[in-house]
This record gives sequence, structure tokens and C-alpha cells, in this order.
Amino acid sequence: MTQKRSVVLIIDDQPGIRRLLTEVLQEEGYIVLEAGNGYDGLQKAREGHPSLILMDMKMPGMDGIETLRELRRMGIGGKVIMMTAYGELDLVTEAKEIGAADYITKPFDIVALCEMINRNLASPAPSRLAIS
Amino acid sequence: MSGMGRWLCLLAAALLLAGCSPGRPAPQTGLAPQPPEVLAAWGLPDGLAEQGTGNSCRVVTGAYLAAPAALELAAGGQGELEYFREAPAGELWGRGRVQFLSTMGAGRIKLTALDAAGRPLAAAGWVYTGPLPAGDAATRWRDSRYTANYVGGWLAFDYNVAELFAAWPEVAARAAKYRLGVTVGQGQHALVTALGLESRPAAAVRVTAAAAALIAELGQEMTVAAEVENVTSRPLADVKVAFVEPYGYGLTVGGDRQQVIAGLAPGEKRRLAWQVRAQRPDAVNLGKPWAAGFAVNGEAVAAQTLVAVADPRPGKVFYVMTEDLEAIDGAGYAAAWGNCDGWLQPEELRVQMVGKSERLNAIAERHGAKWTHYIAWPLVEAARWAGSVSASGEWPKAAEAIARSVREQSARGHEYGIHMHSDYDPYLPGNLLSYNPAVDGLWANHLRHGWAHSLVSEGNYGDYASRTGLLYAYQRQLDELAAFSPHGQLTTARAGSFDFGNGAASEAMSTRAYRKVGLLAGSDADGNRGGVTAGDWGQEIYLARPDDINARADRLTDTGLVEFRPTPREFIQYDSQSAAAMNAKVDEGMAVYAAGGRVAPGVHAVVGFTHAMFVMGEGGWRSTEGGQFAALDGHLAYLKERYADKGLLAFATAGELVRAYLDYYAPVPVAVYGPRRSAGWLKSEYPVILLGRDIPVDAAHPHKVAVKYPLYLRDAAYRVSVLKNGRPVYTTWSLPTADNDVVFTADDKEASYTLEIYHNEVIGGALKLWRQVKARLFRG
Repeated sequence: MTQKRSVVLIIDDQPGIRRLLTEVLQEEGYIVLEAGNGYDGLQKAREGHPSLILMDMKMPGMDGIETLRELRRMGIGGKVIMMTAYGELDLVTEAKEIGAADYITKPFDIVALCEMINRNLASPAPSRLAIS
Repeated sequence: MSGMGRWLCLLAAALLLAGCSPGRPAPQTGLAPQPPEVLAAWGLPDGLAEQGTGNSCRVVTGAYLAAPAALELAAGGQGELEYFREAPAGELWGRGRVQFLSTMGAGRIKLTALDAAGRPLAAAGWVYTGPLPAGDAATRWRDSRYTANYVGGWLAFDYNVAELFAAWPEVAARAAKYRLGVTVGQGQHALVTALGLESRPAAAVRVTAAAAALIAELGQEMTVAAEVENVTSRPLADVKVAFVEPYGYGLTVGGDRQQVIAGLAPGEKRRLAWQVRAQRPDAVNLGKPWAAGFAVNGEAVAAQTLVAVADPRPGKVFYVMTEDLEAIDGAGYAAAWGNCDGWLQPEELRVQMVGKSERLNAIAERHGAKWTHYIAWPLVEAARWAGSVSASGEWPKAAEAIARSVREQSARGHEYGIHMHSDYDPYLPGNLLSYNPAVDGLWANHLRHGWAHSLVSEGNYGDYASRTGLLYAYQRQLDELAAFSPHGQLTTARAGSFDFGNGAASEAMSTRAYRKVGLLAGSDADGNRGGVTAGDWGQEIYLARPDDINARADRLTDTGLVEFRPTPREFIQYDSQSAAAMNAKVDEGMAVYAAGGRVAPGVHAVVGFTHAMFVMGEGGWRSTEGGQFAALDGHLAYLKERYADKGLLAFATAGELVRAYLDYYAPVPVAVYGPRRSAGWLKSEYPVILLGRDIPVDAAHPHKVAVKYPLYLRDAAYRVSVLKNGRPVYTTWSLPTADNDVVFTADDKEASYTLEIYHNEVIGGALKLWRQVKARLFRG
């Protein structure tokens, strides 16, 4: 019996970060989808049904909070981990209120992120919820 | 026939006969003995031990060796000869390349541990020919003897000394030095092209990065740690472990890069940490994470931590209008465009190269925009030549009008880069210029309307019919005309017909020629091989490979020119598109670069393209009113209101775009000179601008930087200095320099660097003459 591999969607405007995360997460056995902005992220989330979304808080255009809000409004499930920088802790509170499962603050070790992803995927996924 | 004559005839006949003998090539196998003096370079006679008689040793050369030289060892029938090298104990590798030549006699390689008095403690050896000696507790022989006499060849080896002596831990602890030797005995011969013990101190420790990968934001400090373990069986002292900043300055260490572990016991691990700053975005590293590396006692080790660095700063979008400034050459163009009779005439030249370009400039100025004109300066030379054969007097006036226009418009902030349609050049061998007095018209061979294909050699400043020489001849004129420009050094060009060269060798040659005259960028990608020059959004500007302008560099250490392209693929064309069509294209680009009203990090460009001669007004080919001129006016008004006034887009010249690009992406500082600060009878001053805004420039990060001085001063300059905050840090009288630049050390980001050029044609010429005379006298 083969175990179904989890799909992780990375939404980050920085190609270098997407590239590094993709390489590491693929090595960890995940199926990785990438999006360079919030709009593209919503599209990929709708089509790819990710189990977990890694999302940068600060992106041009639709930022992390807006994208998360839209994800929830569209009823797209999957846990969301926000990647933030210092000075964005107020945004973290807001993200958690909207339904972000976790957050990690830059600079961070990618191993710590992998542990966080594994931990979140091991716990039950939230039911699909929609907010107005 | 004299006796001598007969002998010569015989010799000639013998040579002829020898030449006619069937198919045997000349002998290849001979080895040439070298004089005994060269033995010293091989560490002889100290590195030789012998017994018995009849031994010999000499240095030989020959193709057979596949090496510069070899030591040939030949043992007498009852003799024995050992050639050896020694090194103090440490992390040693025994390396060599040896060939034994006889089936019989002793042929061995031996590694021996010696104590402080030089007495053997233990040895490990390999026997290739002859009897296998009996081993004992302190000597182990490995039987590597040939089993057939048709397998001999070169033995290349690389022994880890520590591994070989791992079975004798007490020996490793007591050994003061090691000896690696090649022994021949009883008639055996050997050729040795290399033999030695190489110290690799880093092998004594295992370095493991604490983190495989980190993600950070620009400017953040983070801890990068590594674990250092002694993997030998002896204590180590004074282990120097350094953090290696990646090429491109993406990660920097605030304090000391090197840490010293005073003592490390066998098997002991020590954790070292450095405070590292995310200095530059990883976009600079061609989109790959930066690699934080480590070195032990100066030797780089494999361990590394990858660091992706995001740039939270908004980027910039530049709007660059480019056009190729040349005249209609008559080859099939409609009369409505200004081709009156199939010959180029002075009025056509004036209207198309002065009237239209100045009108375009005036429209741009209304909106705060600037044009970049790539001017076919060979055409100006052709006009001057026509002046020498025409009686009308109009050609010199037209040529002068162009020069005046370039001078005045440059001073207003528009840019004039070179456009090399070398077919117009009257002085280039192989060119054709035809003048028809009946219509006062000019004609060139427009099937040679390029640059690189007409000039096959790279050459130098003085070689007119070469890529460097012709670029220099024209660029220096533009340089002089642009002396009052607010931009300083001209850094971009467009080859005629995009003929930059096609293929690695030709493109590498053109890249070198561009750099030689101070050009940092071009705009010929894909056009150089007959493709579409325009690029999609996001593909409009990049650091090219040095030998391929169509490909992005794949190694940061090996980059060529900056290439920029008209955008998008169906590019903005000022001579044929309506304002609405051009606006829509820019909107499309801005949606990519500045989604949600925030410009993505980095440097982006919207680049338009045309030929001024094709931009038509209303009411005849001379018109510069209405038509496409009005379309341009409307287009720029839209851009100003919609983007520029909101700070989302900046109007710029190609040179400004390229500087901004290098300022963000250059792996090392690039220096250019800025607008002329002062110009006197004997001296001109230019500020030096260091590009690479995030690169640290300080006492811990000094940089050797080359800055060009203006090409038009190359012949007159007799002294050049670089001043740092007003004080000279570099001065040379040896002018002109080979690359028309001076090299100085920049070690302070905040400092003001100035290029000071003393120039006078008489003084410069006299100094050059004096140097030539002195050189001849000295030689004599």
C-alpha cells in the first residue's frame, strides 16, 4: 500500500525563497506547488487542493492577510503557516484570527519549518470554513 | 662538380628517397635528457639514497611523459636507488605519478613514518615488480605486482597518510615526519613525473553546518553555526576556522571571520557561531540562495548553509524610450518616408537625424521623459566624406548639424549611444561609398549594414579596422560631444543590425571590445542571430554570459554585459502604434511589475523602440507635427499621470536603467564616472560613482576598482589621479593606460571619490615622445 503524499503550496513573491523551499520540501517527500503572488496562490489552491499552505505575509499586490481572507472566503481548506518578519506581529494576530494555523518568523532554519509542517499535517485538518 | 656539390646531391637524393618511403611517421618516443642543473628543482641530491653501483638519475622531457618533465631512475644490475620526498607530520596526502619500465628488478613505492631523529617507525609499501619483501610488525607490503608484461603504464596515486597508518595509532602520535619514496633495484628503471607529500590541514577536522538552510530578510542578522570535530587520533592545536562570505557579498560577518580553536582532542567536537548579516537579496545571486561556507586553516571545506534572502524594499520600474538614429538608405523605402530618389541627400539626413529626433526630445521633455538615441555615427563620417566630393556645401553643414544636435541634446539629458552601421565608414577597408553629383546623393553597401561581421578581429584602440578600434573611433567622438551631459560615462550601445556577432568566440570578442571602451550594456539579444529582439515582461534585462548575449549568466563569477530588450514581445513601437495601444502595453507591464500598487523588488524596465526617421507627422515626410508625434505626446501624458507622478515608474535613459540595474545586481562594485564637475585648460574633474549599493565597502571589505577616464581625453591626458575626499589615493603619469582606466582601492562607502585628469595635447604628446626616446636610448 502506498501512502498518499501531502501537497504543500508555497505562496511567496521571492523566487529564491520558493526555490529553496521547493527543493527542501520535495526532498522531504511532499508534492510542492508554487505561486509568486496572492492571485496565483488562490488559483493554485483551488486547483491543487493543498494540505498545507506556506505563505509570506508581505507580498506586492494581494498580501498574505488578504490572500488568507480570500482563501477562507472561497472555502478552501488546508492549514496555513504564515512566514513573517519581525515587526509584523500585529499582522500575525490578525492572521490567526482569520484562521492561520501557525507562523514562523524570519530568519528561520528550514528544519524548524519542516518540523512545523510535519506537526501541523499530523494534527487534524480544520473543517472547511467560510467567513464573510 | 666539386666534392662538396656531389655530397649535397647525394644528401638531397637520400632525403627525397626517405620522403618517398611509405607511411611511417616520425619517431615519437625519444626522451631528451636535461642538463644536471635542473636536478635541484627535484630536490636532488638530498632526495636520493642509493646502494651498489651502476645507478643513474637524470631529468628528461618528451611527449611520451604527458608532463613537463620526469625524473628517470635507472638502477645498476646490482644497485638500488630511491627517490624520496619528506614532509612534517600533519594531515598529509602522498601523491605521485610513476611508471616502472622493466619486468624484473625491484619496483616499489613506500611511505615511511619517521621520528624526530629521522629513524623509521613504520612503513607501508606497494611492490610492483621484483621479489615481495617479508613484512614485519613495523612494515607492511602490499603485493601489486604485474601478472603479465603487457599492462605497464602510469601509476597515479593519492594516499591519505592518516588512513594508511590508522593501524599504528602509536606511530601516528610519535611521527615527526613522513617520507614517500620510489625505489628501483637490480636493473629496474622508473620515470617519475610527480612525487610529494601534500598538507591538507582541513582533513583533520569534520565541519558540519548547524543548519542546512535559512530563510531571512535583507538586513537581518542571524547566527550561522558549524560543528568542528577532530577526526584524527591525535590532538590538534590552533585550528583556524573561518566563515567564508559568498562571492557577491550576499552574506557578511560583522566581526572577525576567523575563529581559532586552541586545542581539540581526538573525537572532540566544538560548536562555532558567527553573527551574519543578510547583506544582499538572493536575486543578486541569479535567484539562488547564498551559500555560507567555511574554511579550515585557509582551505575551503564542503559544509555550507544555504541562505535565501528576501528583499522587502519596493523595486523600481524604468520607462526607457530608444530609437536607432539613422537615415533612410533608400533601399525600397517609400518616398513618403523621405526617400526622394533612391539616393541619400543632405536634407534627408538633416530632417531624419536632427529634425525628428529633436522634436521627439522636446515632446519627451514636456512630460519629464528622456530619449536614448543610438546614432549611426559612421553615417556622419560618410556625410563628411561626401562633403569632400560634393560642390554643394550642404553635406558638411548636415554633418555639423548632427554634431551640434548631439552636443546640445546631450546637455539637456537625452542620451546618444553608438549604433555601429559600419558600412558607411569611408575609411574601413572593403567599404564602398558612392557619390552621385547629379542629385548630390550618397550611397553605401547596405548589404554590409552591420558591425561584427565586417570586423573579424578584436584589435585595440589604434587598430581602426577592428571591433575595438572602430568602437573607439566613434565612441570617443560621442564622448566628447556628451561632455556636458548630466549622465557622465556612456555605458550602452546597439550594434548595427543587431550584429554583435553570433557564436561564442565572436560574442566574447565583442564583449571584450565593448568593455574596453567603457560600455557595460547592449541591446542586441536574439537579433544577433536573426531572432526577435524584444522580450516578454520579466525577460527584459539581465546579466548575460560573456560569450552569449542571448543567455543569462549561470555563474555569478562569470558575467558579461547587461542586455536589455524592447518590451513586450510585441513591443512598444512609437512609429506605428496609437497612444491607446502603447498605453495598454505599459499597463500590461505594470500589472506584472507593480501588482497592487507596490513595485516588486529589483529593477524592471519597460523599453520602447523605433527609428526617428519612421516617426511620421501629418502633411509630408518633413512634418514633425501631429501623427505619431501626437500619439507619443498623448502616451507620455498618460504614463506621467497614471504611473510616474505616483512614483511607480521613472522615466530614464538606457544608461540610467543600466546603472540602476548594476547598482542592484552587480556581484562586485562597478565604477563609472559621473557628469563632468569642472573643466579647465589643463584639468577636468569627474565624480566616481560606485555601483553596487548593498555591497559593503569598508576597511574589512576594500575593493580594487577600475574606472575609465573619458575616451576623448585618452591622447591628451598626461596625469590621472583618484582623490578620496579631496586627497589623492592613486596617481599615474603612465598614460594612456592599456585599458583606458585607472585602478584604485575603494574602502569607504561614504567617501567621495573623484577622477582628476590633467590633459593637454602638447604636454601629453611631448611626454609620449620623451618616453619613446628614453625607451630607445635605454634599449641602445
